[in-house]
Amino acid sequence: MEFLEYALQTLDFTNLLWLTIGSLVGALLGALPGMSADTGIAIFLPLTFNLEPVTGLITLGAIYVTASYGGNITAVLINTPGTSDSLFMTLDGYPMTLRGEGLRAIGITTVSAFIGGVVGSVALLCIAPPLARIAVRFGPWELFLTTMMGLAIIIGLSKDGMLKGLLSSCFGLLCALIGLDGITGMPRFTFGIDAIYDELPLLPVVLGMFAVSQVFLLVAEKRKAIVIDQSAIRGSVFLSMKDHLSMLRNNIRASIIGTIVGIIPAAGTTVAAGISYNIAKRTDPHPETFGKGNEQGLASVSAANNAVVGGSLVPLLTLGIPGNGTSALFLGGLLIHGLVPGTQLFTKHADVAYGLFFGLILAQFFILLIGLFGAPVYAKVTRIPNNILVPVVGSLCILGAYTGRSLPFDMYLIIFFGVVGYYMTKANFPMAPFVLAFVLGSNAEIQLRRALMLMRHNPGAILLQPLPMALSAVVLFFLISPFWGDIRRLYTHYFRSE
Amino acid sequence: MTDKNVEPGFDYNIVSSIFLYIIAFVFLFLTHSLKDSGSRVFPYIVCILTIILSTALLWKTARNGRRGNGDAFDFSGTLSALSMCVILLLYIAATTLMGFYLSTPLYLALSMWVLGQRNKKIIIVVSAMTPLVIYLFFTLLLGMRVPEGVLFSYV
Repeated sequence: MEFLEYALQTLDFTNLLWLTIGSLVGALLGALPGMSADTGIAIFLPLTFNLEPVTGLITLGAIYVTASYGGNITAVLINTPGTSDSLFMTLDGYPMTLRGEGLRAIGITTVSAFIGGVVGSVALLCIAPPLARIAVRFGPWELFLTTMMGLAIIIGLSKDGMLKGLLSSCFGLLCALIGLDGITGMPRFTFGIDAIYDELPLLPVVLGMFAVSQVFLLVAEKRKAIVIDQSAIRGSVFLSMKDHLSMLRNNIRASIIGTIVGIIPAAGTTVAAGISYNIAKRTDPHPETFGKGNEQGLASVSAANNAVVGGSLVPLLTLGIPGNGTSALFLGGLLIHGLVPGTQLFTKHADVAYGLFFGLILAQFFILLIGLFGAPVYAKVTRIPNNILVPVVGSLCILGAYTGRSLPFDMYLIIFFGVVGYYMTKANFPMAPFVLAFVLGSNAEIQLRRALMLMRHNPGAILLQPLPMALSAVVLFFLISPFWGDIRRLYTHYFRSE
Repeated sequence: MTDKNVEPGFDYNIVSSIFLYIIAFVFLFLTHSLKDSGSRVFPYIVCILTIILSTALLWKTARNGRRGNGDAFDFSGTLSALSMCVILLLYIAATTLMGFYLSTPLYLALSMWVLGQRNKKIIIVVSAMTPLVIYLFFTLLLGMRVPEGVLFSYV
């Protein structure tokens, strides 16, 4: 009966109004290069101060959900992920646009994101406490292995260029080291530049590598528009039931993966998308088509991305541990309204907690509305001539770089990494390992050093536990598995042919 | 974005390896001067790994070169991309000096012209509307800060 009351309160006019505002703002911010859920939540935090706690949290939740989806649109249509969460969308989404199936790609990513978001939100609603108990068992060594697992997955995806993938991730790790040491608090590798005294900021780096480099690539290609043949934008966002059913298994699996990964602190959307993509590729009868417009690949990434949202709120709401940076901002939203994560949130303030859960489920329907009915508008983006699109995107990128810290330095930094990203693309270095290493590198070092400190006294107690051994095996699996066929052939050739 | 049909010319893997060597050795040198031993562990691991991998890339490049199946690179259009880079740098400098809303129309008009847009109506409309939309959405609705420019920051 209480569940019904909490569900009905979500349908209150004020809550619906702010849910709508949050969804529209979130989708727009997610699509714009330089903007993200973090930007939206940070801006709306003070705005929600005068709202009821449940209304404020529903608004922030709607921004989180739809911003994660919004980045998919630009990633698919113009190969420019609006946020780093949408990085994997470009692998198969953009090739689909290039062959004139941009609308179909939007339809796939929309429905998959909806399924992922619903699964993640329902998981949050139903199983938050027991899942959070598992996450608490992750110590420093396990968290370090989780980040290495994320890197191994990304590198393993680029089998033919694994050496360059490893180099790309090393470069990302070096960039992640710039700034304050996470343990001692002393500055390192700042080259005397005050603006990077604490860290190399994420926003200009990601924007530069993906958005500005894309600007340079579009100019270098001298193509008039992303899709030159206008009749190539064929089809519809509405897929047949048969198509949806063929992707359902992938979507459900990816949603579960996204939810579980979202719970693990520091793992995040990119790891979830990477694992889902990898598994979808391995189980597909035509893995060689991945990265060239495979619909199953696109669906798995979309579902995993949105499922992470619900998962990341599990440790936050039950234990006060943010699952990622965005949920850390969410913690601010709770504290502003005098709410403390933990048991009390589910007992004394159950209306707020469950109101948020139902609000997240409702926000998934906004993804359907925005994606399926707004898609033809978004698809028109691909028809805009490059000599208009490129300068406008460039301007938004520059503004996006500035909004993070209001420093002119960041605007120059975005150009530097734009040049780096351009060169890496032309020289066949994958950018995904760089970004992942850069995002996770700092935390990986902190966890490694904490683990080493603990290991001084009793290394076996940490290394020989089932969980770290399982994680280590997973890391090795993802690094070695792309070469499994080659290893078997060599084994057969040298040992079995006698 | 490499056109695999382009004949292999200069092997840019050599440039990449040299660039990564330089970065790794610079970081290695700076790591050596860190006072705390714990702070040096991870940078040492990454720098040494980078040096080893860059050497492997150079070796692989040399081996492939001898076999005649080196990687193909397509850097055509880089001059055009560089021109866009220069325009963006000038845009940033102008923004820092006179603010976002004054510099953006000039930047948009210039870059559209350089990129081949010759319809003056489109240039004027896009140059005028883009900053207006940004002002309405970012400044008025969301209250976000945009660069004001040194010249106007004291007004």
